[in-house]
Parts: sequence; structure tokens; C-alpha cells
Amino acid sequence: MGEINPHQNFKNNFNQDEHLFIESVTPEEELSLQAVLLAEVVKRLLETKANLKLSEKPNIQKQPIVEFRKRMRVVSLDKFPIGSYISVVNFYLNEKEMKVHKAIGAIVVSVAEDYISFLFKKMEYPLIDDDDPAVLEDAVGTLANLIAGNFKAGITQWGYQDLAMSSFRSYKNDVIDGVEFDATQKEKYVISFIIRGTKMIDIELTLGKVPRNQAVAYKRIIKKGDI
Amino acid sequence: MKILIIDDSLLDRRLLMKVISSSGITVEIVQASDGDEGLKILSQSSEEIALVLLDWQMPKMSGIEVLKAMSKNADFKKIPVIMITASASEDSRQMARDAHPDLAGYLVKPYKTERLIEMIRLWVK
Repeated sequence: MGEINPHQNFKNNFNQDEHLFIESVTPEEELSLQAVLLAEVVKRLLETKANLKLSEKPNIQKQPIVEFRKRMRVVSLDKFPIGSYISVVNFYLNEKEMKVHKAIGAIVVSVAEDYISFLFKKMEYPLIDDDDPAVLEDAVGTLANLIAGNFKAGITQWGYQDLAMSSFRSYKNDVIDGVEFDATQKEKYVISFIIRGTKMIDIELTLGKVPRNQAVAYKRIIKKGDI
Repeated sequence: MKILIIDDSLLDRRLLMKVISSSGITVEIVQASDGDEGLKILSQSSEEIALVLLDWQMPKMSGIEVLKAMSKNADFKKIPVIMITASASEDSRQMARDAHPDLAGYLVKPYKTERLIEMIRLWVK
């Protein structure tokens, strides 16, 4: 486990124009880059949709996946001792694989219970009843859908194949039956977001090998500023 | 005249209702929390539905499956559908257009409320 500094990890891949060619990264670096993209997606959503600036850069950490009965364990109580709501969106290579639950990855969004109402008010949603667990589950699911959809669009722009995406499923404090994932993956990325000095959102990303559209990928580059 | 919102997110449905009501468009709004329920409402009152606002990722029946079902039904086919989804890629847009060639609009979340109202006003005066 350790904090990721994408600029340091990939500095050798930057050319004179300070661009990073996706083709030159290893599969391990690929997921790391995707985690950086996910962090950027969430940061921009918070800035544009909720007019919220992060107190500090998102903290991105690589962690081992704990597998239980072929599913990824997710427990949020160690991240948010006061309680949180969790929502899961899975990715699949296509609609057919979604029907048979053969996941290629997952995004797991956890939000501190005390701040769900605050975040949605900032995003100009109608006021929500923060005493109603069903409403809070729905709220975190709505956020997970927004994040996953925008992340999916982001990796597609990088030349990866467009993925099928599940509807959200939400829980309180832990995902009792675990999360579908690609069992070839042994590690995941956990990204924490500090807003107004408080950790409000935590996102886990696991993603297996996603095919790339080479015609697009060979032209696709990431500007240094993007990460 | 009614607008049918098909979206599994209660908050997104509430947001859409808030946007429509604050725009001054006077229309009755009916809601469904998944595609299956949406098609049932359409089969009961398709004559009254002026516009469908449709999410993509939903349990039981996805927005794409709803689009396919609507394009195959002569009564439903003429009802304009605006897809409102977090899936922003061009491939996703194409998949929606393939499912329903007469798709009235495709709006990506998070959307600008002015843009949504503009699109609704094309179909509901």
C-alpha cells in the first residue's frame, strides 16, 4: 500500500512536449492512470456541479483486494466510523456479459452519512430527508451513477472500448454480499476526497484489462496537466 | 398532456420535476422507477404521453431495452424520447440512436437545466 504520485511514477514516459503516450505504460500503470482520471472526474464534478473545491489533492492509494466467495469485500466502517452509505456500479465488456454478471470492474462510492444531505444541497438537488435510509441510499447511488458514467466516457476518450455499465446498488456501512469484480485483479485503488477539511467521499476502483481501439489509441495522448 | 419520467433514481426524478415546474411548463408528470414500469404506464396511457425522459442504467429493464421496445410498437414509436444519462461517450450515443432511430434528444448528466428546458419545449409547449 502506498500513496501514488503519478507525475513521479510516469515521468520517464513524458516526451519533450510533456505528453504521455498511453501505449507506453504497463498494465499496472494503466490502472494507476485510470485511478488518476477517476480522481480528476470527481474533482471536476464537485467543482462544476456543486461549486466545491477540494481542501487538498485527492489521496490515491493502492490496496490489496480482499476476496470472499469470488466477490470483492467492501467495508466502509473503517473509513467512516460515524457511518456511511455505499453505492456500487459495475462495468462489463458488453451487454451480454452484464446479463451473466461477468464483471470487468467496479466503482464503489462511499459517502459519510453526515454529509450526504450537504453534498446534494450543493448540487442543487431538491432537499432530501436525511433520516430516511432509502433516500440516502438513492442519493449515493445517484452520485455513483454520475461518477461512473463520466469516468467511462473519460477512458473511452483515451481509446478504451466503451463499457456496459450496471445500475447502482446501495448499502449502509458494508456490502454484505460483496462486489462483482474481475478475479484476475489482485489490487484496487482507493481515492479519498477531503472537502472543507473533512473526508466526505471515498471511492474504490477495480478494473481488469479493457481492450483498446488501436486506431484511436495510437493518436490518443494525455497532456501532463490532465494528471 | 403528460411527461413520463423513467429513472431509477428518486433524486434524479425529483430534480427533473423541479426543473420542469420552475420552467413554467404546465404539464402533468408521471413517474416510473424502471423500464418495465415505464412500459406499463405507456401501454395504459400512450395517447396522453407527450414526451418521455428516459434514464439508461436501470434495474430490471435498461433504457436501451425501453428504446428498443418503443421503436417496435406502433403506438409508442411516435412518442418523442429524450435520453438523460451519465453515459457520455459517442459509442453510447450511437447505441441509443441504433435502438431508436427517431430519438428526440440525448442529454448527458450533469446537464445544464436551460438545455433540458430548451429540449423539452421543442415537444411540449
